[in-house]
Amino acid sequence: MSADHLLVVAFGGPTPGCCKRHDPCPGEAHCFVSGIFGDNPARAARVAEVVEHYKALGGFSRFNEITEAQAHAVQAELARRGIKLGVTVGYDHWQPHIADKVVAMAEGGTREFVTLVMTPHQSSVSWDAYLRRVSEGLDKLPESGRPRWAGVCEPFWNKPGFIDALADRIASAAGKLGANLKSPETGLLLSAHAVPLPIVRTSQYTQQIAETAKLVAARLEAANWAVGYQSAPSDSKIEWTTPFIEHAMDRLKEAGAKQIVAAPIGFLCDNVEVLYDLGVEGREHAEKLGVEFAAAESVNTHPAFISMLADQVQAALAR
Amino acid sequence: MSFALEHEREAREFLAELRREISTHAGVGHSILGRMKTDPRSRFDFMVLAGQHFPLVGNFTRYMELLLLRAPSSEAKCWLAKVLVDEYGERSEGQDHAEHYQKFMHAAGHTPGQEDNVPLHPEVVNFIREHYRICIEEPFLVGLGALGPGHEWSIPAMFELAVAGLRKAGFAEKEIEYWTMHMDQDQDHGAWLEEALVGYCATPEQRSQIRRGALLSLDARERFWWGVTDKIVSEATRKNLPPGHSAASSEGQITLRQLRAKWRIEPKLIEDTTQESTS
Repeated sequence: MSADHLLVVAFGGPTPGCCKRHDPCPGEAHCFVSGIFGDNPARAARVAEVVEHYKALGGFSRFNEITEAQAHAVQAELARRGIKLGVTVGYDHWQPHIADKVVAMAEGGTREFVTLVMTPHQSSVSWDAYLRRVSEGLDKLPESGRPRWAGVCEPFWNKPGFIDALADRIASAAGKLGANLKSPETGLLLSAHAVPLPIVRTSQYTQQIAETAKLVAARLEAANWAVGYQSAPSDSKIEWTTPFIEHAMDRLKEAGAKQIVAAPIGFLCDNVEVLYDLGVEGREHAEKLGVEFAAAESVNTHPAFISMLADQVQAALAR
Repeated sequence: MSFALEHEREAREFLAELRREISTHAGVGHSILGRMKTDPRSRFDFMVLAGQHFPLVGNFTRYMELLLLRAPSSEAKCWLAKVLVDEYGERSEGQDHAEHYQKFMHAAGHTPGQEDNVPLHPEVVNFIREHYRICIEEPFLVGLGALGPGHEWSIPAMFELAVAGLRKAGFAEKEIEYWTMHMDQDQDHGAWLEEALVGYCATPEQRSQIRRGALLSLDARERFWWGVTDKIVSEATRKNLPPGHSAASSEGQITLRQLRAKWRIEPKLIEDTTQESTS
């Protein structure tokens, strides 16, 4: 093992502090969302729609705060195992940006690093996009000043620690409803971000989600469960992964559900998609169906999840 | 108001609404284009984009030729012929658009002679297949909607964003002439088209066919841009990390050269056997 640093890369979410892209500042949430869709009049309506979701939850996201807590928890777990690593966190869509953090890492004396990609299921628009930012950062450095990129941690969609953490979160949420997951009267909705089919065609994204869902449902001995995809842009005219969560909830009810527990298995922290698209819109749909609803917390810093991530880093260091 | 004036007013209202619908379509406003100004792309990214976009450029003329054969009037033929003359190189120093595009590809890093040996994302192949299908199998006005409004009214907006990204990536004006020239020519084509289309928007059925063609083309365009996005991000991973690190696989993807060998594109002779012979 020669790597001295762990670079954690993730999507990112808006935090207080102007990004200085626009003058006057239209607000962090606007810059974050338009940074994803692009500053393009063609998508202005969709940008405004998503910004409203952020505003409904206070205008910011806890994504970065939680991701940093996860990274430092992994660092602490590795230290407990006798492995001392520096940790840096960077984001694809918000500051601090991944490429800038790679440069800062090099300037701080890092000689060799491994990367942990904070997404449980692999598609090019998450996994590869974040890794591309790492390359961009390295390209900004003179060849002599580039730290060695020693490797990337393996993805973890089917790792027991991830499955355990998800199952534990779901059991807690079910407990709040007094729901028995082994009964068909409790529907278990396992949600992940929708992805356009052209992206899915080349990756294992949906297969990995299906496997996570199957493992979680088996661990909980859930009798009535379904995968649902969420947060597809309303202005897209093409096919995205389906069923959307509303249809998945309809099916759970048809199969006997009187209450639904929703769990974000495709997300690692309580970001706005989890809290609004699943938590708020999912609850609204449950009300329409006349069923009780509880949303499970994301894995966030669940000890089993953190321990599993530390295993992944340790394995990458050993390769 | 006379019947003719009333018809023209209705037609122009329909076309104005169609223009608005096209300008807000997610294919025109795809994030890969919308982020060109704020999220600079590298020459490598444009090399990947060019490899996927070139087959569209190379096939567009053929779609037009196929549609021209089916045009029901001289007026429609005239519009298609005027655009075709540009495509053949009339206003671009005798170089057809594919040749112009190759100049850009070489500037982006493609080896001359290897332009059609790039593995294509399935959505690139689907885009081309869908446009041949539209031009061969759909009613003429669906084809006109796809190649007319679907292309000529969307390309200036899309290319304006792409050109901003190309300039940020450091391309010289000479290297991106294909893009800038197209922005100008397609403004002309779009204006000629609007005049030609007025005559074809007399009935709800005609308007519906034109709109359907435009949206079929733009839906394929949205899928195409996602395919390009997939390629750009995954090729960067493949370039910078050992095999197996990318989330996306390019296994089984065929090249333009292989596609040409595999496809036979021709207008068909359809004989109506129910007609009696005159012998």
